[in-house]
Amino acid sequence: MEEQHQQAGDDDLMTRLLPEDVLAQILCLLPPRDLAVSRCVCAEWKGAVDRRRLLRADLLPLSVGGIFINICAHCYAEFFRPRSGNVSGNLAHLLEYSRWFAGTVLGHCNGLVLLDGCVSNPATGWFAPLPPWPMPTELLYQEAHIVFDPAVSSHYSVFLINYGPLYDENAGGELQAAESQEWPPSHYPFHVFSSATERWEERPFLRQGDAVGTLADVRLGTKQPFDYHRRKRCFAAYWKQALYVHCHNNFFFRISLSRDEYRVIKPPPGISNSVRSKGLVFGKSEKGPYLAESRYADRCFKVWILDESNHNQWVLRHCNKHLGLMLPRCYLDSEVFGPWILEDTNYIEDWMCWYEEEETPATAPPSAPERALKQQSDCGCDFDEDGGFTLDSTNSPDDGDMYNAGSSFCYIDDLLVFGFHPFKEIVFLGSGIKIAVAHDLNSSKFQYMGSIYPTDFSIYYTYGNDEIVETFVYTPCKLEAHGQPPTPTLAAD
Amino acid sequence: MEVDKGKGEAEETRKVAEADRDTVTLKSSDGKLFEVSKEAAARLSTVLAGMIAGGSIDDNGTDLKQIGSEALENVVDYCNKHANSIPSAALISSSISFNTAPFKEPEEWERKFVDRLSHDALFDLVEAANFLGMERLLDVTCHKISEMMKGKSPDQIREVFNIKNDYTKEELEEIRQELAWAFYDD
Repeated sequence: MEEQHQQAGDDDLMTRLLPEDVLAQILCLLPPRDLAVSRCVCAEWKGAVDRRRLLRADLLPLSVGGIFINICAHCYAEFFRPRSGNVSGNLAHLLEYSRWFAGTVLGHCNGLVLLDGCVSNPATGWFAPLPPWPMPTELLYQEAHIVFDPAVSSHYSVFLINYGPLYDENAGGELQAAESQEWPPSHYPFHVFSSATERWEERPFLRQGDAVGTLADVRLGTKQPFDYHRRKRCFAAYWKQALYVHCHNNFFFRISLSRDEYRVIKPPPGISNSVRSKGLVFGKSEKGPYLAESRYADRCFKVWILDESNHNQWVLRHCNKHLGLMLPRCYLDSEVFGPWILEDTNYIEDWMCWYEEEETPATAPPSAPERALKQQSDCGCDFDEDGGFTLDSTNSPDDGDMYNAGSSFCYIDDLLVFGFHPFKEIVFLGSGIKIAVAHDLNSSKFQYMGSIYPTDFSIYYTYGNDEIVETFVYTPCKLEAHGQPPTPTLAAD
Repeated sequence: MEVDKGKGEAEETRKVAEADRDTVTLKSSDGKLFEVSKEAAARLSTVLAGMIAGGSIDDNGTDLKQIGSEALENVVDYCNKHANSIPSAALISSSISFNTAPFKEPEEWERKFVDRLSHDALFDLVEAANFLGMERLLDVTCHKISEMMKGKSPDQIREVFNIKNDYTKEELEEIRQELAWAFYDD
C-alpha cells in the first residue's frame, strides 16, 4: 500500500496514476463502450482493463447468429442460422406471454427480440413480459420497435409509433378535419416502455426541421382494407444512439434517444413516398443506416447509405441492373447441405402438439440438422463452416453466363432482400421460400447459405399464404438485459 | 420515522462517546489534528479498526503521513455524516454486507457529499479511502469518478483526469482498430 501510494503521489509527469486496484474498481463500473474508450487513454489504463479482463467483447452482439423469418400463416417465426451457431431461435415457449401475433418476431435490436407482449434474449434464455400494451385506436397503424445497446447500458426500451389515420373509405367529419393537419406533427407522442421505469409512458418528441405535408398527403395509396396478416412491416435500425424508423409511406424518422427529438428523412429519389413498396428493406450495416430496393419486375437492385454529414441525403452505394445468380441446380432441392440451416420451429412444434393430442409417447422429431445431413448432396462446394462469409464460391453472372450455362445450372432472379449484415457490407437474400444467399456489395460475389424451405411447408401452402412477411438479422448478446426473469418454474419451461 | 429514530439513536451514541471521550485523534501529513468517533472509525475503516484493536492509536494524534489535511477532513466529515444518516443499529449489519454484497448505488447524501468536491479533492479522497480501507467511501468515490468518464472521448478523459497520452499515433490507431465497434464518431 505504501508503495502504491508513493506511485499515486508522483505527479512529476502531471499524470495522476491511481493504484491499479482502485483504477480497476472505477473501470469495472463502466459499460463496454466506455471501457473500450478507456483503453485508449494511456497504457496504464489499457493494462488495467486487459489484465483483469474487464471488457468482455465476446459477450457483445458483434456477430450474426441467424435470421428470424416470419412466414404468412405460420404460428412461429422460423430461425435460419449457421450450423455452427449455438443459439436457438425457437421461441415457442414464450407463446403464453404474447398477444395475438404470438410467435412472430416484431423486432430485434442487439440481441433482444421483441415479440407481441414480451422481450426475449435467445442467447441467455432470459425473457420478460411487457406490461399491457397501449393499443392504437382503430384507424391508427401501430409499429413497435425495440432499442437495446448493451455496450452503453443494460436497459432497453420499446417504442410504439402510431401512424395515420392511414385510410378509411367511410371517413367521417372528424377524419376529414384531420386531413389538413401537418404530418408528422411538431410534437409526436410516442409510447415508450423503459426497463428503467418498468412502464409505458407517452412521451412527446419534438420535430426538428420541416414537416412533410398534410395527413392527406401521406395516406397509403391503397384502397384495400388494411390487412394485418399480409402487410409488410416497417423496419427500424439502431445506430449511434438514435433509432431510425422506416415509416409506412417510405419516409424515415431519426429519433434521438438522448434528447426527445426526431427528424424526418425523405426517401431516396425514385422511391415512392406514398405507397409502401414490398421490395424495400431498411437496416443497419457497416457504415450506418442502409436501404435496399429489389424490384422483381426489372430485377433492379439498389442499395443506398444514409449520409448524415450531408443533410441526411441518401447516397447510392450499389446498383445492379440484373440481380440474379447462377446456382448448381441441386441447390434448389430443399434441404441441401449448406453452412446455414433452418431450425424448422413450426414443424417441430406442430409435431410435438400432434403427438401430445394422440397420447403417443412423445419422441422428438428428427432434428433439422439430422434430416439435412441425411439428404446431404454432393454439390462440391467449399463452405465456410464458422459461419463467416468468404463469398468466393459463386460469382455473379454476367450476361454471357446467364444464357449459356449448362443444364446443371439454373438462373435465379427472384431474389428478395432479407436484411443486412450489421458489420460488413453484405446483404442476405432469399429466393422465395427456397434458398438463402449472401451477397457481398464490395466484391459482388454470392455465397450459398442453405435451404430455408420448412418441412411439410405444403400444408401451409394450401392456404395460399406462402409469403415471407418479415425478416430480422439477429446478433446474439450474452450480456443480460436489465430486469428480473419471471418465476423460475416458468423460465425453466 | 425510521430516520428520526436513527438520528436519535446516533445522538445518544455520540453522547455516550463524548462522556467516555471515546474518540480517536488523527494527524494529517501536514500536521493538522482531527477527531473522529472511535466507533465510526472502527466501523467504516478496516485500517483504523485494526489500529484501535491493536492499541497503536496515539492519544496525541495518530500519524497518517499519506493523507493531506483536506482529504482527512473529508474522511472525518464522511464518518460523521454516515453516523448521522443511518440508524446505528442497522449500520453494523450493513457494514458487513458492504464487504460481500455487490456494489450498492450511492445514497442521496453520499452523492451530494462527493458532488461538491473538486477533482483534486475527489482523487485525494479516493486514495485516502483506499489507504484507510474504507470500502463504502471507496465505492462512492469510484462511482462518482466512473460517472465522470461515461460517454467521454479519450481526449476528454485525459483532460479531466490530467493524464498524459503515452501512445504513438500508430499505437492508438491499432488499439482503436481492435475494438472498432466502440468508436463511431470520427
